[in-house]
Amino acid sequence: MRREVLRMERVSLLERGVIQLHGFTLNIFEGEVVGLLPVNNHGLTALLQLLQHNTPLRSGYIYYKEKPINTWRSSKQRQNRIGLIQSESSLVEGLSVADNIFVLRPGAKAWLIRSSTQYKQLMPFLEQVGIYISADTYVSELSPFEKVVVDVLKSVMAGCKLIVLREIRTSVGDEDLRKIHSLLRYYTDQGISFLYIDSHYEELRRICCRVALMSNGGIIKTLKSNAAILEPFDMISKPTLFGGELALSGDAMRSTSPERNAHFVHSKKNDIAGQASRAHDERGVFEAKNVTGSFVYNVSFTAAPGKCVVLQGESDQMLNELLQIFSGQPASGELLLCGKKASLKSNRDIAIIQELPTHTMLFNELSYMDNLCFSLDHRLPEIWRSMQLREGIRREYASTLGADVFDSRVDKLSEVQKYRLVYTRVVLQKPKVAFVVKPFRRTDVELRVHIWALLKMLLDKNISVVILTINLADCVSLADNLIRLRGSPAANV
Amino acid sequence: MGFFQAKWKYIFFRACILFVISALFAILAAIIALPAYIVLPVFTLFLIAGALFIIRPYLRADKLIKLYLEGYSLLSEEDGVYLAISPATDMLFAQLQEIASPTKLFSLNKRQAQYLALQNQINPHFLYNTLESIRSEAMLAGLDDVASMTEALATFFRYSITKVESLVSVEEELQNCETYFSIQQYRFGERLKLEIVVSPEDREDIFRCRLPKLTMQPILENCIIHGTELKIGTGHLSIHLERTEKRLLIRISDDGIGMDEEALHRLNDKLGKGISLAMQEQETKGGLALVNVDNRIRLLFGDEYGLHVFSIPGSGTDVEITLPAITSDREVKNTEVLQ
Repeated sequence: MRREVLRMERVSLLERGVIQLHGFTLNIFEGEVVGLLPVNNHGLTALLQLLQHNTPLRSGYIYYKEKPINTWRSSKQRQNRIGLIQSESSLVEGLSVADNIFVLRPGAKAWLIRSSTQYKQLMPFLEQVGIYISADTYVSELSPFEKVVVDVLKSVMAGCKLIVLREIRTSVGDEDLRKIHSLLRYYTDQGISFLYIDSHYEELRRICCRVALMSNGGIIKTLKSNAAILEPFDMISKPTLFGGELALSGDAMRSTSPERNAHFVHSKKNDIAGQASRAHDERGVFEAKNVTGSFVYNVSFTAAPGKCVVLQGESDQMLNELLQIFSGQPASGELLLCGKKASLKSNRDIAIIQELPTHTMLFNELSYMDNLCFSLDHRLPEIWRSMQLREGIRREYASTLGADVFDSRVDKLSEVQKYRLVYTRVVLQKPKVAFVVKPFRRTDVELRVHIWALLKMLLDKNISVVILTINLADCVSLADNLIRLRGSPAANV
Repeated sequence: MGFFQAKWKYIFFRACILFVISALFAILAAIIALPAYIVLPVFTLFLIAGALFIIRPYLRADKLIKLYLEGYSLLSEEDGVYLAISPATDMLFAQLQEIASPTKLFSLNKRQAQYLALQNQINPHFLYNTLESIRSEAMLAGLDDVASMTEALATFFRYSITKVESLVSVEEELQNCETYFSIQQYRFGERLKLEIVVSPEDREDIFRCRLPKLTMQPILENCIIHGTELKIGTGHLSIHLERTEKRLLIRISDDGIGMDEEALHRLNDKLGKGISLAMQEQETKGGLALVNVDNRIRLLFGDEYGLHVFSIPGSGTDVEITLPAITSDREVKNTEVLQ
């Protein structure tokens, strides 16, 4: 007889007048890894909040270990023993691993903390999973992979029978992800269940026995991991960009379907060698020669106009250091822009699209137009004085961005509109090279297709695109050149 | 008057009563010159009492009434406690229980189920296709097949028509599904395949569980008619049964044409909406069989059980039936509807 760890039965949730969950039905058995693929992110945050804090329901029932914990009739709003692990760790950086696991866990009641006892208690757990982390190491010194392991251990020690993992792929590399999957399998054998949230079907299929498709706050279908299904992804990834149907190339359309994407990536990899040699023939707009820092070693690559280079790092520190170097911080090695040594600091020939750009690159207190023209003054010095110029830009881009967005408040725009704004700003800036950091982080399936098309738009405008990422999913289908960065000399694939 | 204005009017009315009592107390305190350390705690107590005993019950009752208007049933004792904010509302609830009695609603559903069974019998396409199959088999192969087909048809009708309100074992219900499927297979041949998946170690436990008669067959029929019949190529149907400590989970799936998100939401809304509203809606819109099965389950076992549909276009439809894992008719929550 199987045991249900979680059952959500026709759950509807209303938050500030907006229906976040609508007839949400999902069950998770003991020792099972269930995938959750958000077609769009609507209701996802509310779902996580609900799982942890039992917020009052509009309708439906929630059972944890077959006991009702939250129903539409009554909601006790107590904290559930459900662990939540996201790409940003919830661990306290200034405390040691043992303190995070034992002292900060819910239900810890000890008045005196004996470090030696904690270490003794922790060691068997680490030995069981075959991962060795010193118990007295500060969390700030851990790698993203180790943080995930400590987060999992913390949830296990807190007695959580269900652990939710959200987009951990974005913070750890492929090798570490494989280790995390082994860790999850170990704990599923111990009867712990996982809800694994990711916007990549291929990724979910690697670890999950079932994958639930979530759209507009409801589960529309649950697929077995061996289900060879292509159509739903074609259906949900109909790209409509800039108000109309996006004219993606055949390759682009193929890559929107994860199943097909795998095949496409494979054939793309085969083409990489040929393309890389062609790229070498072309004169690069940006060249990095033997760039070395604290985390990166001897990185060399050339970015040609209209070509995409993907730099895959092992950790966030590595990517942050590279970004700092590319934005003008000196390091050993040589950086050439159009074949010449140039100051990269505040150079408008270089654009940087940061991680989560809708949060980090938009100014809510400025108007849409001000945000759009933010980096245009080097091309049109009169832009802030001339109303006519701004009107001209508005007329030109109204057909693509939508006429109504110019009068909207930036914080009221949809996520897709915000992404369009950021990328169109870069197009207006007209840089030679654009560095894009983890472009697909925290995106749902629909948004991924839009971002993919926006990156393609930059390439079509003959801008050289350099993507800095940890996980290769999505980026590979755009890459003309793929470079894997390691602590040792970079290996050009 | 807007909705919020109306709502706040009633809260304001109750708050006014509290204010008048507090004011009287304040006057009394002023007359007999009570010290501040007595007046302030008493005032605070008034405020807390107001929040706990006036405003909160009102909001809770308000929520329950709104849910009832959306179609949920308010029949439990707990609902009665929440709604009893005054003697009048208490009486209203008693009357409501009388009107929306599960026995009455169930007999209505029973009649619908009988009607459905009757409709199946007289459905000309169903009969013609079946008889045509019998005829062609008789011509081609001899009387053995004719006999088995006729037997299957008779078994199916016998099971469907008699005692629709009673509970049966999962095994009996599955047998009926297989009989129905064998009849359909004469029509569809190799174009239709059925798989019944039960974990071997739970098989006996599951087969002993009780469920309302004609729970699975109408859904299987729906899968064939709306799912696989329109599909090009072989249609695969599966009945997946699982048992947990408290629940019996049945998933009936097809790999047919599926449905879009809007249609799926409409259907699930109809299923989750509650008995009275769903009954009003089903008069005009489709999904009769699913709504009927869902209603009977909810009337017998409560709102927390029932049907839910999952589907995406081109990838088939799954109907998940959630039932309590019971092995005796005496364990039914609402036993009087079985009499």
